[in-house]
Amino acid sequence: MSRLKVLLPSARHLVTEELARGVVERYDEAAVGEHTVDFERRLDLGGFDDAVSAVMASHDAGDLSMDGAMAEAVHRQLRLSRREAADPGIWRYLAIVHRPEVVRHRWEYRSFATMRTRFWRHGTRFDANAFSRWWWVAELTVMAEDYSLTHRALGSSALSTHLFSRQLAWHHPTVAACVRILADAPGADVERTLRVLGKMLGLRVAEAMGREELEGLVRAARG
Amino acid sequence: MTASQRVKRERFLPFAFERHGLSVRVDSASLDGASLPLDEGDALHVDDEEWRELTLAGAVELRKGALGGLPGDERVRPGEVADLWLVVQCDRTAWRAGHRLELEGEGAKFELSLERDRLAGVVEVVPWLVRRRSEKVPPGYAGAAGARLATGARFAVYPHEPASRAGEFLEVVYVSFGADAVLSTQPWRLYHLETHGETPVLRINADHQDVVRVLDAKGQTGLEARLREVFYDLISRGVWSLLFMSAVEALDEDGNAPRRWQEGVLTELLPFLFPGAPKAERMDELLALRADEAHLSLLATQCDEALQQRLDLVKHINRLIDTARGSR
Repeated sequence: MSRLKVLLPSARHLVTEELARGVVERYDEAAVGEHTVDFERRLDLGGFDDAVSAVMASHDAGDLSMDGAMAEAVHRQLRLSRREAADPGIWRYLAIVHRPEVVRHRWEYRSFATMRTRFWRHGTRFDANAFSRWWWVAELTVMAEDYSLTHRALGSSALSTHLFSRQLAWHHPTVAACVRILADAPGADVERTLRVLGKMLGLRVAEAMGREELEGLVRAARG
Repeated sequence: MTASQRVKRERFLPFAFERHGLSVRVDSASLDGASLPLDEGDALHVDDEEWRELTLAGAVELRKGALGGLPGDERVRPGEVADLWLVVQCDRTAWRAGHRLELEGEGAKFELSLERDRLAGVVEVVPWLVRRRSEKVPPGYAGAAGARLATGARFAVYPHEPASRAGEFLEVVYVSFGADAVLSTQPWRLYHLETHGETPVLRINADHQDVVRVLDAKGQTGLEARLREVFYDLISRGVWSLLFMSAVEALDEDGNAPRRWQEGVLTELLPFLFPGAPKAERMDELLALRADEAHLSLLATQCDEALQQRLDLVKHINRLIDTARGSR
């Protein structure tokens, strides 16, 4: 059974246009061995592979509605601490070596510049490594095994793009307030509201605010 | 040019706010219950690799003028309208947690537990004085619930970093300078740094075999391990300085860095360069220094100070001295 590994920064050259287009379906693990090290503990990927394959099978290529299902599947199957998940090498291993076809199934190839970051860039931005983004968005939105907020946040392309590229997304009650109020809002509205909200939170300490105060602030930002 | 002569470009809040009104004092630290020696200054380096919980105990103190963000009638009863908060933030793990403290007299005591599994890289502990609920206040004062009234320099914790992260922003390769067409003219060099590409490349001269042997030493104890720490510090100091200056040079006027490694270098060093400045203002301070050629030496000086603190050079040299004395 496959085990999680860490892809080292020296493997940057493996993100090629051929890999992004699927001309190279996947790399032979032995061939990339010099660029990988074992993850710090044994973590089998059987459950992860099954869950990810099931989501792929139930969604057409390019269907953005797979984001919520994929985020829940990846997060449920990879029981990582935040310290472990902060290592970009594990997400690069999954995207570049272990399951590159998942990245290609979610995003149609349009330009290498953007596709490249979906294999390599760590974080939660819309153009970050696909697995990293799914796992971290789920981590920031899950509440006691309940992923409904995750699904709602990723169900809106505008909300997921503009919310998870800001540090305010690191505070769960703020994220919850944004999702409750903005999940169905038009894209331009979401972008403007989150920009204003960021400035308003720059004058406050979000941790010191309750749910009603945060929701009031999001409404005020929306105007 | 002295620090007091600097022309600062600061971002002011639209109401009374005391940016240097609070201070965090850590009196003791323990790792899984065992006492941990404190570093000097406002940072703590945790060298142990395996631990579960770090506990910090100390106090947040109100400095002179700390209550300047409150209207006069509220300054005599701050505990009724404001709360002290410690906010813990770890950028790499997107972790934020607030801890409300009981404001009593000149401050509040705290005991803070940090779980290793939530942390990677620098952890910042920032004090805030915050308005508790919305109040009608005179113009010029913040009346909103959660509004910032005062802050102060943060306390930083540096957990041990696994070696596999070392190459994230820097590719390190050992090469024989003697076999390189260009570098063979400089056999005395220990390293050469290239910062032009997507990832900077550090070439270490493999011809200096004794130095390379120490740099590659695997042990955690003994003379070679202590030498390795100091060698790394010396190389790191030079390399970080070059990376920092290169990143500063590349910033646009809004403080955006074109490359990820440049962002990473600045994120790492800015808290040390401007320890008294709130996080949102550090980039403004840096851009203000860069804007005036007369301030460049000050920038280099501050970078050097920041690196000496970040790299913990004195601690590593003292360990080397102790080990060398013991092995005589």
